[in-house]
Amino acid sequence: MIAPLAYAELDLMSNFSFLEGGSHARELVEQALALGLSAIGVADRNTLAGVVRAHAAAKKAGLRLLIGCRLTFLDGTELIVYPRDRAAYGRLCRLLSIGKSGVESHPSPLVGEGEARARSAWEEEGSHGPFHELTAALPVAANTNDDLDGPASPLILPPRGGPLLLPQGEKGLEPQGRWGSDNPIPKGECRLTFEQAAALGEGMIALARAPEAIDDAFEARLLAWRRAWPDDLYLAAAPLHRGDDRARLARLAAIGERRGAPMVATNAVLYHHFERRPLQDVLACIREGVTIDGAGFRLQAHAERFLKPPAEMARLYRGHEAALARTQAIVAACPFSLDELAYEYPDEPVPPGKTPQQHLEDLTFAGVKKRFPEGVPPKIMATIHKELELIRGANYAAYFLTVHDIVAWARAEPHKILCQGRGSAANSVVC
Amino acid sequence: MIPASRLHRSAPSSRATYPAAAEPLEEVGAGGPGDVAAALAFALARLVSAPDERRPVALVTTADWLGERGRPFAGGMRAWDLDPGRLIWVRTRREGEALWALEEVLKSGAAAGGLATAAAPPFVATRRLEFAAREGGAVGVLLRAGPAEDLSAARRRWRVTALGSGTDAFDPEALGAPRLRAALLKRRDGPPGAWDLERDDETGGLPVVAGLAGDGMDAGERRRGPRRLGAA
Amino acid sequence: MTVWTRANGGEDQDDSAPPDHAPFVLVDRGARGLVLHALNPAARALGLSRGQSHADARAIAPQLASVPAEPERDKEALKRLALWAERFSPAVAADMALPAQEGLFLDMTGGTHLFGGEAAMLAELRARLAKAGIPARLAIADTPGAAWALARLSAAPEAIAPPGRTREAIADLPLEGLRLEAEALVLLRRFGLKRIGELYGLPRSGLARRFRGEAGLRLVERLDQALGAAPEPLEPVRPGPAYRTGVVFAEPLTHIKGVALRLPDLARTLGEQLERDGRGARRLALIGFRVDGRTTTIEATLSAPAARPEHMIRLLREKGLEHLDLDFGIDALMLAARQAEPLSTRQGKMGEDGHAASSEALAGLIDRLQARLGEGAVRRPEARESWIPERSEAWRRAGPDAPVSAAVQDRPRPILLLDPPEPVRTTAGLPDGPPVQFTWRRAQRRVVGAQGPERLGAEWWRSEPGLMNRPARTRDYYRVEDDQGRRYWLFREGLYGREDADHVPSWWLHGVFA
Repeated sequence: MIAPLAYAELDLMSNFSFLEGGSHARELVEQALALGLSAIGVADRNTLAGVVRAHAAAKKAGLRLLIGCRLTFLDGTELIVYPRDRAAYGRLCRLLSIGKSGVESHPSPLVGEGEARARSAWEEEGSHGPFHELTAALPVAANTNDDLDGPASPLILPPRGGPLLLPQGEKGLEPQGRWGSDNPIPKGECRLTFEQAAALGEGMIALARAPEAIDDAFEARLLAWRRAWPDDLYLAAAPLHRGDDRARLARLAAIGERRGAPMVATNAVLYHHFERRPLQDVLACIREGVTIDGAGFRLQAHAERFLKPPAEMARLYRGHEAALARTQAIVAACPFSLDELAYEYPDEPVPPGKTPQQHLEDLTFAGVKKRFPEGVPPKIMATIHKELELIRGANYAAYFLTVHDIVAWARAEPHKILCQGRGSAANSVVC
Repeated sequence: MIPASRLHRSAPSSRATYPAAAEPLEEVGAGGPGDVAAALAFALARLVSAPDERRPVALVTTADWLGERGRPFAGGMRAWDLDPGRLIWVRTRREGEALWALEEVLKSGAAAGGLATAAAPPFVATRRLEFAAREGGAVGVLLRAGPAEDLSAARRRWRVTALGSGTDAFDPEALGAPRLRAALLKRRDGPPGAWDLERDDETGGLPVVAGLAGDGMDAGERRRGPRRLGAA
Repeated sequence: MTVWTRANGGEDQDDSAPPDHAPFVLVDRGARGLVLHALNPAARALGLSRGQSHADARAIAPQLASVPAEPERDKEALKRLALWAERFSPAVAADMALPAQEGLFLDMTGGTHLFGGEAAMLAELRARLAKAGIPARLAIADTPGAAWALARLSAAPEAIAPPGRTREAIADLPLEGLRLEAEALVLLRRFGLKRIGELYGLPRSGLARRFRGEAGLRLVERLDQALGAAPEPLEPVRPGPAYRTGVVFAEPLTHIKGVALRLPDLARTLGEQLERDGRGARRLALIGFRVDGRTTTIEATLSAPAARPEHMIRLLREKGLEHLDLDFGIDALMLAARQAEPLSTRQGKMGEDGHAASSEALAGLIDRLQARLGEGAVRRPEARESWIPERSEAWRRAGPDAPVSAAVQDRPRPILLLDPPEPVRTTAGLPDGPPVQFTWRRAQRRVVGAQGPERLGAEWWRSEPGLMNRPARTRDYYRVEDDQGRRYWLFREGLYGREDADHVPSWWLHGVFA
């Protein structure tokens, strides 16, 4: 009798992989728990949009959750990344915003002011990863797409580790042409190259998904990826149920060994239960713009890409127990949780030696004096003190400073943008 | 099971060389009722043996033959280097029609070759086929259900039997490239011989893996020992 | 020319036709009750007329026999008559205009010489109609409108308006000859106009104005159509063959040998016609016109347009001239290209001179095979995008070009497919182990090598049932090899633990590998 094997599914897309994943994060989490999986990793395609729901569901159910992302590069290759810690998570966020905004979207990491600054900042953070070696070793892709080659971006790097999702202007949120109709990346798209991912890939575990046809190009790719993640690259296998999985897994295991990317077991999950196959087929039809009768090979051949219990995974990976065990190693190596982001707010610039709370209080009293030159009514003063106390308790001062920034900027505009303070809290005096 | 190396070791002791190029008319007989698929694949290989040939290839079947063995599946012929786009399937009711149709195919000049299933083709019909094939620059194959010794105008008469598969490089339990044994019982351009052929999965071709002396039909040799079975 | 068949029902052989001397009418539902729809000569002799109310007619002639009209069946009968009349013209239109539905238009352009001239042709047509029990009045004119008027209103049952003399020919005919609506006729009579010729001198704009709106314009249009000043396209009952050639025999031809003898001439003429236009036949018809008024036809479909006479002859011979049923003889034979296409569409790849020739040779081969073996006997495979093996490939009717195939999956597939699959008994491990032995066609086979499963889910969106008329289930396919080195394709339908609630999974043989 084999001891019950621990297994975590690390190749999994939720419905936030638009028109691909067939199940909600909650369904995936609950099913994983019911089947006895030790953890799941949610890695939606080029997005982190689903992680909050997945986090909430996992937290509620008491399941260990890895936050990750399936990066699909411009050349069609795919990599799943899991940040080990908060800093790596921040870099992943930054990477995705680069892919979606078109800022710094040049195929080469060495072109453009934005990249240069990203690189210097990355180096300033004390990482001495393989950046130079990598960029030296890789051929610089020819820039064939002029659309992507915009003016040097005003990218300002966020404070270390901040979960910044959008680049900021130097004076706060500066209106930039790039965010309007000129945005070179259509909404919903993400344009990334492996080089860009490698440049920000520190602290991440990378899973190279094995393609259907294993060829020399794949091995060559593994080699390049390995240089970017010398110790953290895995080869993610998944059964294809074409009849030759045994040979395929043996071959992948051998390649993984040869290229220093150990094979890790996955089931390339698209939905939590096999009964979701019809829904997933319909999603594929919508995605491809075809009818179900005409969808053909765009549909999966079978319903096997659902969450499977550890015992079944062990059966499918018989002879490759190490590949199953590696799922546990990866889970252990990625302790990062979205809980670490709670109450985090990007720092607002404050005068030296002051806390945001102190600065907010200064600004508030200055403002109130301006508003009531003949003396502040006691009732107002009392409210202000009460509100400031509340803000201090909630540690929200920085947020109010941001609002202040925006309002100040709006009033300073020659066009006199109408400002009515914070929309949802008209009763607040501080605001 | 016989390891591939052993098959390779059995070096051709016969002076006969494997005739890669087909004669205008050849006969291919199945070694037994279960060897029809192997015989069909071998016959197809004979039909497409000419390089740079893009003309279609016709498969003429009789109703009886079809009822016994199922219908041609183009998806499975691709692996034998036959582009399904070249394939034409002619269904006939009786053998007489099949022989007539093959003759039309061969003499038309429009086809690279054709095969017809035939149980007992009259000698006169084989003469006509041979002539038609020469006229149309085509290769004709008569696919016979079993070994035959009747009079035929075919220049070569083959007997084909299935052999155990080769090995898979990554899965010892899996089936490797298919193999078959082709024994040339009659030829005009040299002594008879027998060859073990293994499909080259890269090209779909049928290279010889071993040549055997005499008729080479050692029934015991092609059996394989039991293997361990497992699921993938 | 037009044929006017005056009595309805003449073609309906299952109706016993009423005797001519007893007044007989067909009645139809009109706006105010039943009205007379069609009358026999005896009824007309009593002074009854079309459109009269049935009640009035009964008052005049109590002995009047009447049956309901069946416009749909009339239509059918007229259509059949039109097809019959194709022996005289490639383009026959049935005059479906209500209420009569009793006329035919035959486009005789350039065709009457086959019958010895216009007069002879009219006489022959009328004689044939009479033989079939259809009294008819006939006319030939330059325009359908004029022929229509002459057929119905001239004194003689056969009228011919000499070419270019239409104006004079119909001048004396009553205005009814213009196919006008009743209201327009009443109005014209009120102006004292009675004959078509009386309209010639009137200002056309005035004519149109008098009648305000539709009726006026219609009057002018009808007049112009009759005189050939406005076009009147006819819609033949079936599109006439663009290319046809025929031969008429003085004595009925009673032997196929005679047909075979005439065929080369016909084919040569047709081939010349086609070649002249750079076209080739896609559908050939050899039609014999029998003395009993019926036709007998053999048709051949060509996989590519062809104009070479030898090809056409060979094809029709292969098809079997003996299939023409000559009965008591045919008096005319026609070869027609029912469908023709430009020859140039079948060009080969650039720079490949041999391609066009070999493509033509292939088309010829396919046609010959099909002509003898049957239309569906020659096929080419078309790959389809389906994971289900029997649906992944269709054998299409062959043409010179391979069917356009869908993308294919590179997976091991058998060389022969059993369709439908045949049940086998197996011993196999659970849940998805390969068989260790199986029995097919009563012979047991020991499995020494196996690979699989290849899992293929059922196409859940299809309504047709799967094996054994049950809802389709997932299939697990295995390639297995027996101890004789023979390779088979087996599958288990139904997954243990997932799809075995209603029925135990079952095993099938779906094909054999080489």
